[in-house]
Amino acid sequence: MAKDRLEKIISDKLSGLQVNPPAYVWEGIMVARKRKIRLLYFRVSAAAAVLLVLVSLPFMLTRHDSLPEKNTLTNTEIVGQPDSHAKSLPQDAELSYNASINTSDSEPLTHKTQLAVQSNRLLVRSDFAVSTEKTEVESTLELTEIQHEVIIAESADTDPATQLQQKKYQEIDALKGLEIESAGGNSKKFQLTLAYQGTPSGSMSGEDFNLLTNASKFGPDPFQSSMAYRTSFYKEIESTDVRPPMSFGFKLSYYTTDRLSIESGLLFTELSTISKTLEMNSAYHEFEQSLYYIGLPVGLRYDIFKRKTFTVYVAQSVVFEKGVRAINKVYNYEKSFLKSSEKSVAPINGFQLSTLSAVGLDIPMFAGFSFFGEGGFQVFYLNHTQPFNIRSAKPLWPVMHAGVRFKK
Amino acid sequence: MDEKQLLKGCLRGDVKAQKRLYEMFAPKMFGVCLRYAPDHDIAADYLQESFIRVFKHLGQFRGEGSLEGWIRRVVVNTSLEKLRRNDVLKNTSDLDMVTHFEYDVEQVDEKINAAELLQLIQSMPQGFRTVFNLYAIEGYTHQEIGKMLNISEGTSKSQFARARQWLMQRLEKS
Repeated sequence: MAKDRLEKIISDKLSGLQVNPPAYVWEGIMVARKRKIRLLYFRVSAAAAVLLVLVSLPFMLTRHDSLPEKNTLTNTEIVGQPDSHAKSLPQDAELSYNASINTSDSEPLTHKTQLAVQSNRLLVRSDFAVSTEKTEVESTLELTEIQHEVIIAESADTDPATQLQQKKYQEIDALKGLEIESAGGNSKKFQLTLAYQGTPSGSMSGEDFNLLTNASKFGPDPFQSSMAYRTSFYKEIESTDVRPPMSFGFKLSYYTTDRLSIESGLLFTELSTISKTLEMNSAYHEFEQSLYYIGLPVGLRYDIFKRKTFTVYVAQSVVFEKGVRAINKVYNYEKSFLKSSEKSVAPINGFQLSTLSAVGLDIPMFAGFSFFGEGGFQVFYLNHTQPFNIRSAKPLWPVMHAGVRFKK
Repeated sequence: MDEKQLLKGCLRGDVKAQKRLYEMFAPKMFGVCLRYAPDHDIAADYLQESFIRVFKHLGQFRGEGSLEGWIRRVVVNTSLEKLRRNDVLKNTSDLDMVTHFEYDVEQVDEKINAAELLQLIQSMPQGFRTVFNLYAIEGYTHQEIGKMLNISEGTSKSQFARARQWLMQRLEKS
């Protein structure tokens, strides 16, 4: 049949047809791949920050209930005489250890009770030997400052059935025997902070994000000059997509008083924007600019509200940033398809100065670790040395920090 | 590097492996795109979008059937999606509106080469071209084409008949 014959001819000739595609197809695939990776990185970072906050909530809500009532420490009179171990320690020695005790009704006491170091400060002002009349067993409490351990001596009672219960009494009574005062503060002088900073992204119109040199208040650089030249004389910017700036880094804090700490560290920041020109004769350009900065934040943090389970603080810092390099790319599109691209790397001269004001919540998790989240505003002070970026377009940005602190 | 190693490399995000895979299949797939697209540039656009999807969803390839067949399906589906966005299948007509003609095609095979035939296919109205490609070259049934393009089986048949008629008229003229 004619129908079958025609189909067969066409199928034979075209089904195995091989034509080499233009080289720019592969280049376009790579551009899309890089953009996708970056977007994925941001999403994962944002999800991790949210997860940190969510994970910390149950800890905050349940930690009060985890301490048995009878382990609450109260000031009582010391029973018994100091022993030789205790005498070696100076009177009014200040020792730091956790207020929580690793004992509960469900777990038998051991001879050696570890007191995990956490966030509360305890001040011990007494001798450390206690004997309890209740069990008629002399116990010795040794307090080792370095290891933060309380060691209860072997009981004289050799009856295994009663020994466990006696030890429980011994420990609780022994701790009652200490004159203990909770300072309710953070005993750790040093803190190491690892943080991620997020700021909003968005799309701006040409009016909001004027790329003319005289309006954007920045000094000329190779990329900017090129873009300004092309956009000012030939093209009009239709829109600019501001990618969420990404910052991460670390800070070291030092408590000068119980509530006030000074902090400094290093921050790495990437700023990125894509500006698209209006389409003319089915052709348009995209200008992608990525700026990389290393920053030195110096600031103060003050704990305004301190509890066992959380601390609310305010922080104020100044950030000095030095641009490492600018990567500038120009994508040339025709009929919505990438035809060619150019890439150049340029140095960034001068410094960027900004101030950051934030309110934060710190939630202790385990050992010396805590999670924190901060929200605030960062103000970027314009100067003519910096290439045009989102900070010069809009100097005031809301910021969010999330991360982990380690206290030592 | 065999196909399995290539696949593993691509799944790891190895750019060299991805380029190798692209070089291996891009010419054939560009041939497919050229049949669906009205011109060379748009075909390149289809190919680029298709390979972005291939690398994104390569983990879904379970080794059932050939890798080439799987990539080809991605390319065809991407091309159809692009066509759907432009609403090219909107102006379709029913089977009863089509007049049937019989043509002598014996000489077509000798007189026309692949490049000329491709050019002819590309100049077809998009609705005709899409159905003709899917039925005559890809081998889908009209029922399957109806589902793929969200049109009725009858519409697919009529589009094919009209496409064939259109094609024969051009072939006779040439």
